[in-house]
Amino acid sequence: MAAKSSDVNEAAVSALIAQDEKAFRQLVKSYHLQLKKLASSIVGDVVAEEVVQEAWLSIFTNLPNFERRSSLKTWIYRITANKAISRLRRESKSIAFSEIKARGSDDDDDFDAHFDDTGSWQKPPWTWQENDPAKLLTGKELQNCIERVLGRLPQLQEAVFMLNDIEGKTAQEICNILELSASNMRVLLHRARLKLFDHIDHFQETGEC
Amino acid sequence: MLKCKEIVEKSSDFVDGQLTLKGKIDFYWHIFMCVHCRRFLRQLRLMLSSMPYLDEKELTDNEVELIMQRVKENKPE
Repeated sequence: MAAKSSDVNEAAVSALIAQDEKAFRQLVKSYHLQLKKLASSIVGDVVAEEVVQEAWLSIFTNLPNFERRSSLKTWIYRITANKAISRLRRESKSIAFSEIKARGSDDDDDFDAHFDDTGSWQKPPWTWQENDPAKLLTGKELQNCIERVLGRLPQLQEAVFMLNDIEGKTAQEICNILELSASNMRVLLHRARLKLFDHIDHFQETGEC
Repeated sequence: MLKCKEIVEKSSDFVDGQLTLKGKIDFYWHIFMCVHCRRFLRQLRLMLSSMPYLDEKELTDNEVELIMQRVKENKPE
């Protein structure tokens, strides 16, 4: 699947390593909201902005040490996720991060309601009006609906979905960024996809989110 | 034969190429027979292919400026 946005180009990476202010401004402009979404999915909306501010300071300070072992984009995601995880640990000292992560996969499986006791469809998917991926999201209402649904996903489901299906990161990169096992990442991704599918299907049927 | 519910459970692994050969054959066999699961799979793929078209938002120049100021004020000497 195509990634939503391409990585930072080589010339820009070199400029950033040299702490070029113009290049850093462009990096902030392009990625701040994506990093905020990532932080928000780990630590919640209230402190996400503060966490990303801390992350930008750390990114700027450490850019001269960036060794290009991963892409720059993966590196800045990793720094932001680390800041968010540290913040979460500070704010919930009695809760292990592994327990917080488990919450993301511990919710009810609403999609089961589509099936009868034999495992056959009792409420099959609606036939969507659009077949072209470029046109499916042209309506602002559906875009807003998707953003609302993503924002309501359990902790880490949103982050996994965003990194995999919107940003086009590899499973290995996502496990590395979010400290997840491959199997846990697959479970979180699948549940997020089903929830989003369910809402889009409902929207296609009723015109409501 | 796999149940419809099992097709949905395996759908992410199918679209991401994570199923074994036997798993793929079982999956295709069901899809060949079941119109609802074919539609589910087609629309799941459509949803995933449409995600890169979500509006990509950027900060305004003023918002970038505020962040730059904070970075400059707080960076170690």
